[in-house]
Amino acid sequence: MLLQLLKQILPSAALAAAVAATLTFIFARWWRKASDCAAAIAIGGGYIAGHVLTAGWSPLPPRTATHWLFWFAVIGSIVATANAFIRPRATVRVIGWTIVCAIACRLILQPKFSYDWRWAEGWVRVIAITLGIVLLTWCLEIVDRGPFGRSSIFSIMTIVCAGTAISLMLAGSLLLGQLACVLSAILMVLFLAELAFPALFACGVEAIPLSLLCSGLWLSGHFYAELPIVSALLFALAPAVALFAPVRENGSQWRALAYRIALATASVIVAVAIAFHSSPPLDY
Amino acid sequence: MKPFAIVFAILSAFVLSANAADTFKVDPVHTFVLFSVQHLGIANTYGRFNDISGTVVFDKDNPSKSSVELSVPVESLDTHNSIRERSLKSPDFFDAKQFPTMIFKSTKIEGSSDTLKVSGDLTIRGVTKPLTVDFKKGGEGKGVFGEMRGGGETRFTIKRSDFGMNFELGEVGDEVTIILSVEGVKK
Repeated sequence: MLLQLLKQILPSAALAAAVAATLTFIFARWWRKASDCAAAIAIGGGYIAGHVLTAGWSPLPPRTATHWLFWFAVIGSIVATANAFIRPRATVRVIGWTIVCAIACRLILQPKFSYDWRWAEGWVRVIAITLGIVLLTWCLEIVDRGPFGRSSIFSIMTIVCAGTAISLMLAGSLLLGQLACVLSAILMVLFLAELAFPALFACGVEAIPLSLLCSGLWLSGHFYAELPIVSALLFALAPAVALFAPVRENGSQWRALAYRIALATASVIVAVAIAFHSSPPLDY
Repeated sequence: MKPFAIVFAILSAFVLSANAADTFKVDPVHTFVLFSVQHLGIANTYGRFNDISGTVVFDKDNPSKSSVELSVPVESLDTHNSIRERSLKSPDFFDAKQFPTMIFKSTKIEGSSDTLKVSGDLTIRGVTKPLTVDFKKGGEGKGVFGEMRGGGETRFTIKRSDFGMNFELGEVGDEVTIILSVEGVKK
């Protein structure tokens, strides 16, 4: 069964990783001007390739939340690239990103507005979730600026996305799980690229597409599959939890990275355990 | 007296023709929506929807004046395995939380009073496709509370990919056979 699952997951994950690696080298090595947004473009481009192989092209306008994830990758990459090239003031950047997140959140939750929530109740939730996504972006940017910043963000989010993939499969959606695997594979490649070629990426904006895509997966998993809310929250909090790792001024950077990964992994393990506990027994 | 008799006759004809069309409310207890789909090309997997609602207007004398409207909540899906049901209700297949109901609305009904060709629009997962089925009319009779009942059955095949359900097309068959056995209570 596990082998069958791997056979199904591997092609899209491998394609996404290959596309991400290619885009990384095109933008970071050969077109240095764009190296600020190389990782963001690699995440967006890799995800789009993996999504198309897993779920097909997404129509415009999208009809389902899964279709929206494809467009989130496009929007995230465009916003990140714009940020890297224009470099707006911090206030403009935060306000602009909050608006983008609110619109994205409202669009992916449209069915809940149609069938479940009242207008006011829905908007309260959208505002709360939007603030959560903005905080997640901020946390990822802090991780990015810390010791072994790029390696930290890629390694932590590889683990978070892998945990998300397992939990989404346990929540009943193999499709969403596969899409999380795609994201995990991309981040793994970026992590390895960063290890192999230190300082490959300049100061990045990858937190933008990453937070939007991950939030889209958690929202879809919770509202349209059976991902427990606590699991979704623990995944979202994992980068913030990683920030509690002790970092000494003159200490080993490797140790700091290990602490961060360990803390994030602990949060992910608890999240997966909760998803496992709430899934029905496998009667095979 | 003669004009009055003619008017009376015309009015009577109208009343009689109005009565000829009977309206039946679908009885969810005695109505069944069963489906089967191939699994790994090995054997068929069967399932059912435990809930259905709707109205059937049936005109014995002029079936073209009949109409059908049925609604099936996807949450009522039952395949005798909770893991499979989770998967089928998830965004992978029916996407039950985004598209909670499947709807059929007839657009044209023709044929004899025993077998009817029912054409209409079937909406699954937010995608509407035309569908024509042969509906074999069953009997009519009184229920235990003296209520008038009528019904019938149809069997037809649809392609799930037509409704945007494209996930795992190799493992789970594209063609889905549906058996709909309806019993309605006359209003």
